[in-house]
Amino acid sequence: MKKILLSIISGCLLLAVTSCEKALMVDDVSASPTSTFGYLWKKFDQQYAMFDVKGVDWNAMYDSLYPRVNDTMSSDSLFLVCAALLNSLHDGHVNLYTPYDVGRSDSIYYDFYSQSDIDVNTVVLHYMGVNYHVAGGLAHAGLCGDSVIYIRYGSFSNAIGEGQLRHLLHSYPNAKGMIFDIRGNGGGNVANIYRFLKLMPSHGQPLYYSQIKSGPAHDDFSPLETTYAPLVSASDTDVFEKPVIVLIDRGCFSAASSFAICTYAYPNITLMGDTTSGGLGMPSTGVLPNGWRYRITLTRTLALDGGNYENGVPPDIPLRLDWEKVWQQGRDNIIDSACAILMK
Amino acid sequence: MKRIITIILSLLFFISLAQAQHDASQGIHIGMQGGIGYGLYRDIGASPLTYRGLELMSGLSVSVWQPLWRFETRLNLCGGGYGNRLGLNYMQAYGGQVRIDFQAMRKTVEMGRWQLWAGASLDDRADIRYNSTLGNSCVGASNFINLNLIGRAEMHLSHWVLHGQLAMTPLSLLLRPGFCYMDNYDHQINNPLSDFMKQYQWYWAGATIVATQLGATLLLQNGNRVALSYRWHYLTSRATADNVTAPYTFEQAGHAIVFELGFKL
Repeated sequence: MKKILLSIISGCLLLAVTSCEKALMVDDVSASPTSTFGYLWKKFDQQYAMFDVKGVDWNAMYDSLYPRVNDTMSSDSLFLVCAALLNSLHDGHVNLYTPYDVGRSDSIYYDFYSQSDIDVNTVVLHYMGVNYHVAGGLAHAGLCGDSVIYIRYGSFSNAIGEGQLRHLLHSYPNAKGMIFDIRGNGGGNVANIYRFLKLMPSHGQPLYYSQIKSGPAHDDFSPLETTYAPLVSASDTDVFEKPVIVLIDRGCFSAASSFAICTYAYPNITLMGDTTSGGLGMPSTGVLPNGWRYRITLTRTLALDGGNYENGVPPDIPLRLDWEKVWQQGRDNIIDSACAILMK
Repeated sequence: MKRIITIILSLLFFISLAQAQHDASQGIHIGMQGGIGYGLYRDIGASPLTYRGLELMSGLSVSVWQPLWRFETRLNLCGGGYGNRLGLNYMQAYGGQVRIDFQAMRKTVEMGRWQLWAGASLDDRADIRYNSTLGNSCVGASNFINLNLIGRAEMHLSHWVLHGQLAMTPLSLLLRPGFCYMDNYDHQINNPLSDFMKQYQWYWAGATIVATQLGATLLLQNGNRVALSYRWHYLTSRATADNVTAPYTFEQAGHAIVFELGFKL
C-alpha cells in the first residue's frame, strides 16, 4: 500500500518539478536554412490551392533551388532562394515576410498592376470635378447631366455603408444607369462586396462557389460551398435595377476580382475594360521555423459557370484605355464608352 | 468592483471564522480559486514555434466531501499572453480557456494518516487563441471533452491535509481545425454564423492529458478550508502532423500556483 502511495506522490513530484512537458512535446522543427526551406516547400506542396491553374512543377522548383541552400548560408541568401521559390507561383496572395524585406511576385507587378487602365487625375479633373462627393469609401458624381451615376471605388478596404449608398442613390433620382469604377482596386475586405450588392436586385441567388484544401494532394479539396447574394426585402425601394457598368482592369485584384465574378449573378450588371489580375482564392498566413512568415492561398473560388478565374476575370466588353486620348485630350475612352451605352 | 468583491469575500471568511466549530473535512463547500502560472502551447497547423507566457486563472467550485465519497463541480477560466522563443514583437499571441469539470472519487484505502482516493471526471476544455499576424487564420480554437482517471494520495495531519494527485485522460473527443486553418472561407452573407469554424473536425483520441497536483489544505475550525497547490498539466491533440487529412498536433502545458478558499455551507 505504501508503495502505491509513494509512487503517486513521487510521480506527481517528478512530473511537476521537472517540467516534464519537455519530454512529452514533439521536438522543435530546426530553424536551419535547409530545414526552413524544406518546411516552406512542403507547406506549399500540401496546402497551396492553385497549382492546377499556375502551371508550376513544384517538384522541379525544389530540385532546382534546393542545391542553393546550405546551413552556413546567410539569412539574406536564404531569403532570396525562398522568395524565388514563391515568386514562381506568380500569385499576388503569396508573400514571404521577414523583418527586413518582403518577397513578392514580380510578374504581378510587371504583367498586371502596372497595366492598370486608369488615370485618376483625368477622372477627377475631367469627369467628377474637384467638388465631387465622398460617402465613406466611395467618391461619386453625376455624369451626362446627372443621368449617369459615376462611383469611384479605389479599394475594398474602404468601408461601404448601406446608408451612404442609399443617400447616394437619392442624390441622383433621374439616373438612367450607373458606372461603378473599380479600376486599380487591389482588393480588401470582401464584406464590402456584399454591402454594395445590397443595392442591386439581390434575392439570395448563388454568387460563386468556394473550396478549401482538405488534404496534401494538389487536388484534395473540400466539397463546394455556395455563397449566396444578400437578401433584399421586396419592399425595399432603394434597389437599383437600372443598367450598371462595372469598369475593371489589370489593377483589380483579390476582392475586386471576387466582386467581378459576383456580377455574373446580376443581369443588369456588365463588366467593361480589361481582364482583372485574379486572386480569387483566400490567403492566410503561416510561420516558418526561423520565425519568418509566409502568405499562402488556401482556397479556390469558382464562378457560377464552373470556371476558375484565379488568373483573371474577363470583361463582358473588352476595352483598353487609350492613353493618347488621356494625355492629349484629357478623355477616358472607357468612361466615355460606358456613358454612351447607358445613355442609349 | 474589485474592492466590493474583496470585502464580500473577507466578510464571508471572517463571519464563518466566528461560527461554531465544524469539521472542514466533511460537508458541502463553495470554493473560489485564483492562480498564476506559466503556460506554453504549440499549434503546428498555424506555426511550428512554441509560444510561452504568463497565465492568470480563476475558478468556482462546489464540493461535497463524505467519509467515503467526494464529488466536485468546477468552473475555471484562464487567460494569458504569449511570445515565441525568437522574441519578435509581431509574434505575440493571446489565449483563453474555459474548463468545466465534474469529478467523483472514492476512498479506496485508509492506513493511519494516509488515504488513497481513486475516481474519474468528465471535463470540457474549450480554448481559443488569437495571433493577429496569422491573417485569415488568426483565431485558433479547440475543444477537448475528456474522460479522466484520477488517483490521489493524502496525508492527514491535525489541521492539515497534504496531497498529491495524478490524473490521466484515456479518452477524449476533440474539435480541432481541419487540414488548412482559416477562420471562414466561404461567406454566408445571410447567415454569417453558419460558416464560423466550418472546416473544424470532431475526432476521438486517447492519452491526451496528464495532470499532476501537489498541495496542502488547512482545515479551519469553523469548517472552512484554505488550500495552496502547485499544478502541472500537459495536453496533446494526439494528431499527426504530416501527410494526413487529420488535424495538426496541438500541445499545451502549464505550471500554476493556485490559492483556494472553501466556504462551508
